[in-house]
Amino acid sequence: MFGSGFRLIAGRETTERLRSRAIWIGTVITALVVAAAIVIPHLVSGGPATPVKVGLVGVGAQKAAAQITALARASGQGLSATPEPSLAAARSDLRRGTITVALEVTPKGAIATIDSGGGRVLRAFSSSSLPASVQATLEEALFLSHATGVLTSAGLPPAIIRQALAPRPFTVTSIGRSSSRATSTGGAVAAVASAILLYVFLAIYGQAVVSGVAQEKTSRVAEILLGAVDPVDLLTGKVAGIGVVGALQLFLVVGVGLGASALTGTGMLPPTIWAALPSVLLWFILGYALYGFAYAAAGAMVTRQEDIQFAATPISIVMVLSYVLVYLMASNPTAPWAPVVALLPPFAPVLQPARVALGLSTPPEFIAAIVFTLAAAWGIARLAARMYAPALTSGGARLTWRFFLRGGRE
Amino acid sequence: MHDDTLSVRDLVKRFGSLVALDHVSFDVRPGELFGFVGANGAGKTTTMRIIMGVNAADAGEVRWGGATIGRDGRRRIGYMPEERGLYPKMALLPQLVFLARLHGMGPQEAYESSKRWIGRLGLSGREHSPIEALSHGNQQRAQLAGALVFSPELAILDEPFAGLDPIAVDTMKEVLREESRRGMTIIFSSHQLELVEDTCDRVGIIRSGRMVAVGSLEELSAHRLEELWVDAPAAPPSWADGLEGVKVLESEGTRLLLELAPGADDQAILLRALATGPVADFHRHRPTLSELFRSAVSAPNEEESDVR
Repeated sequence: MFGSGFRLIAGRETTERLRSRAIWIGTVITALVVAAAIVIPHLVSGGPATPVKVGLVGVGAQKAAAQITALARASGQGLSATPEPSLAAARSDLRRGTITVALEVTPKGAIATIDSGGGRVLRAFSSSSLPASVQATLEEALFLSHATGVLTSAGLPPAIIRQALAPRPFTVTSIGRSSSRATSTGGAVAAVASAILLYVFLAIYGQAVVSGVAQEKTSRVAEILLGAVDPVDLLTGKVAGIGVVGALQLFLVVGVGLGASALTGTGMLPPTIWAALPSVLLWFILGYALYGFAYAAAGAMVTRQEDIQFAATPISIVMVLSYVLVYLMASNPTAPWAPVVALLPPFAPVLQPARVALGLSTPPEFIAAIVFTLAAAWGIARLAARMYAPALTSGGARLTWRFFLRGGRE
Repeated sequence: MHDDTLSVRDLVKRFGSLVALDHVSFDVRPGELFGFVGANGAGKTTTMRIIMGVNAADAGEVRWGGATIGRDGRRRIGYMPEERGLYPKMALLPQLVFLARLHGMGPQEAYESSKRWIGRLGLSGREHSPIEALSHGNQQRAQLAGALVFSPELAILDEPFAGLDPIAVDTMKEVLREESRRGMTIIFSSHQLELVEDTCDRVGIIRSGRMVAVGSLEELSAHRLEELWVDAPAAPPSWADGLEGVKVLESEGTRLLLELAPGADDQAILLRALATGPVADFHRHRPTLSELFRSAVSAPNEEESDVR
């Protein structure tokens, strides 16, 4: 499909760009910004760095410890519980830091004791209160333990008690289209974060294509290349070579983000980011295929370096519009326009990952958007290929978008 | 006609209302060093760009190897455009390797050839310098290396000598001669007519988009009236007056340049000069390319000569 010309052109683009110090400085700075965005809020809030260890004292401490550990495991919390021989021993462990909360269980209830200074500083939660989720788990465990004890005393067989206290499944069935899926604040944050990432990368690498093509044209390198390479190879090689660098940089930045998140605990990232990130990478490739060829055509129309911004403006406006649409969609996920607009190729690359993050995209919608975007990218690439050589070799007057739309005919 | 002759046939190119090329035709034979001369805007660059496929002709064709030239043919042509074309930020050696590979060389062969050309054009030590860091003259040498690095069968060089110092001109001239001797066909344009005359086997003169003369210097001057330089130091200034078919074109001291009409007898001129005393000089004048060029470009259109 692609000739040796394509491979050489793409290889040169990738190699030369990776040789440039600027790309590495840019990558390091972007990765640092992403890592800082994850790590700094964590450091400021003192989020959970270590699992919460509960030391239990009192009536049924052994049972309650097992109950708490099981409940915490079921709900995915970093919480474990061990029985303590006495309150004094529990306080001592609390000061040494081997446990993070001492729970004294009495027939009337429970008293939680946490370090309030003097011992090791607890990083798991503030020194004056337990996190709500931890407290809820402890309360639930104590309730179950208490209820089991009461019901056992009443002479009920263990099987009946287990059955009585087993959680009942709770299913939500919605009659609306979107409300069946969770559209939490975390989803909105992930949607906007995906949109920012995609917008920034598509814009940066789109600009790299425009200026790369414009430089090839204004420095007349294109005249030499066109003698040896088919214009289609020149165009696709250029777009692909720059795209490889973009994808590598995006993978690196996303990798650093996920690494930072893993190191500091996943609590700082909304859970939907795990579904959104693979789609961000996929949609960068699809979006870049679409916008990259359009930007290449824009670059070929430029006759002076100063005209680059002007030539790229119509494409940039569409991209900014996609970005704005993500904000509108995040604030009103059930808007009837959203599923329709998100299928349209110019907007799909930024809107689709956002819809995944919001839990709004369905597989048929996602696949349809991919098919439409690929078809549009193919059409734009064909159009760009037709006008690429005449535009690259034209001198003098600035070419217009009319020239582009007519496929290289004035 | 030999198959490897580059044959430019009836090229027509219009830019809006401007007719840039008006049925331009000429042949360049294999192994020939062909000089393409003309005033600014005469159509040299447009012709070269059409040969290279950079511009499309409105009519006419370029044939090479017995067929209309296409991309495969053009991959065997080394091209040096008038407005230089190399990646400014890319280093010299990788850039030459890249160009050589684009034209079909393998990686090792491309590397070795690039090193060889860097040495040959006096660019050793600058292998890893970006093109933009080279001096103007060295950029020009790099550009020539880029055109010749893959050992093309045909080289089209648009103003390769422009802006070069005399030493660089000599280097480049020598390189072109050597490559021509090895069988490379070379077409180059230049405003330095002495250089073209000194270097080329044949020349083509273009004026306002039309070829006005094509041929060797001898061929171009063959249709001109014969001219003689005669120095008769003792002769009176008017000694040549009245000689049948003879016109005095210019005088330099005691030397006269005489134009002989067809059938005029040069021996009668010699006898008349000897009759005045000693004759210090008596030789045919071989017109320079500058003179041929001036007379070609100043001739009215209808009297254009086209020697092929």
